[in-house]
Amino acid sequence: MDLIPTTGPHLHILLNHFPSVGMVIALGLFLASYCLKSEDVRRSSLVLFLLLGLLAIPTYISGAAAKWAIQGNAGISVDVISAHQDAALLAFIYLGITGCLAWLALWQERRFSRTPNWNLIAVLGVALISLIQMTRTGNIGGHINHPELGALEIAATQGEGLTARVEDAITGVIWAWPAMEAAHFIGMALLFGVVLLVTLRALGIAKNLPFGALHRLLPLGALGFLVNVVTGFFFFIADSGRYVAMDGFPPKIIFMMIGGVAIIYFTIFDDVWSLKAGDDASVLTKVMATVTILSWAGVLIFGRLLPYYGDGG
Amino acid sequence: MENLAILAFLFVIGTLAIVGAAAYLIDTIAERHDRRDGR
Repeated sequence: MDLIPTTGPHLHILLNHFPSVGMVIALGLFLASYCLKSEDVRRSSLVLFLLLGLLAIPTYISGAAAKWAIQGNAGISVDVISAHQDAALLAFIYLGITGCLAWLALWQERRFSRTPNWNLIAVLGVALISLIQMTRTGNIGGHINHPELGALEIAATQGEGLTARVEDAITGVIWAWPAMEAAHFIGMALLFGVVLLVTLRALGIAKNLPFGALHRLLPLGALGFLVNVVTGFFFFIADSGRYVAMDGFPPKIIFMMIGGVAIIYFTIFDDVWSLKAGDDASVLTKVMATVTILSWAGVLIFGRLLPYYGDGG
Repeated sequence: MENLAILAFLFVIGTLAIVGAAAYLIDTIAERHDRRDGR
């Protein structure tokens, strides 16, 4: 059915509008929260920044899949694709930083009852840079397959653009890949360890622990996630053609999105924050804990299956 | 081979040091707030 994207290019066309349009909405909410003096509106904008940061992952990946699908077609300029990909990589980095800062702001607000001003200023600043970079990326991307927009002056990078240089650095330095694999496993251990501690408490194990004590560990899990996104993206950039052909890769990313969204629940929701020593969690909290464990287990399982499953073998 | 192992090891230790320093910094601030709030 055409409504449901099943190919990289189709998915990219669907996804690529959300980060830029969403960023305008998130920035609008963020600024409106100061006019309205509403912490709820500001919290909503921070959640939206975080969701956009997560959404940047499948958007970039589907873009690489689209590149492999259309490059070589008549009328498609490789130079424009490369310029779009380089701009997208920068947009992804800025959007990722915005998402990280927004998550930290949400965690700080929950924990300290307020968010330090430096973080809110940082969120605003990086979000604005992200929007500018996404606009630039979208503008270049629009010229890839739309001759009606007219020619775009793009300097031929001859394989020396940002993406190509990152790819060369990873594949050209012999210790880079195995070292990043080791860092990726450590990041995974940090993330899954914290996920297990938090969700098992919600499911009723170690009930004498108040949730507030475990909430303090969340930044450690978030740092593990950050390490894995960074190292994972280095792997992806270095070998994107193989990754986008792997049948296990889309499920891994889908589970990562679900697990990422579920973490928001454990970061800010009253239901779970109010759990004192000896308290039993609500049914909703237990459902969210189960979804979170299963999602991150799915990420691990499909991540490990990548070289063995479907076209990855 | 020795260089490969040493460089890979240093990279991982460096990553751990950055993560550890960030976690320590955030946790120290959390500790200060928890003490103030009597948690």
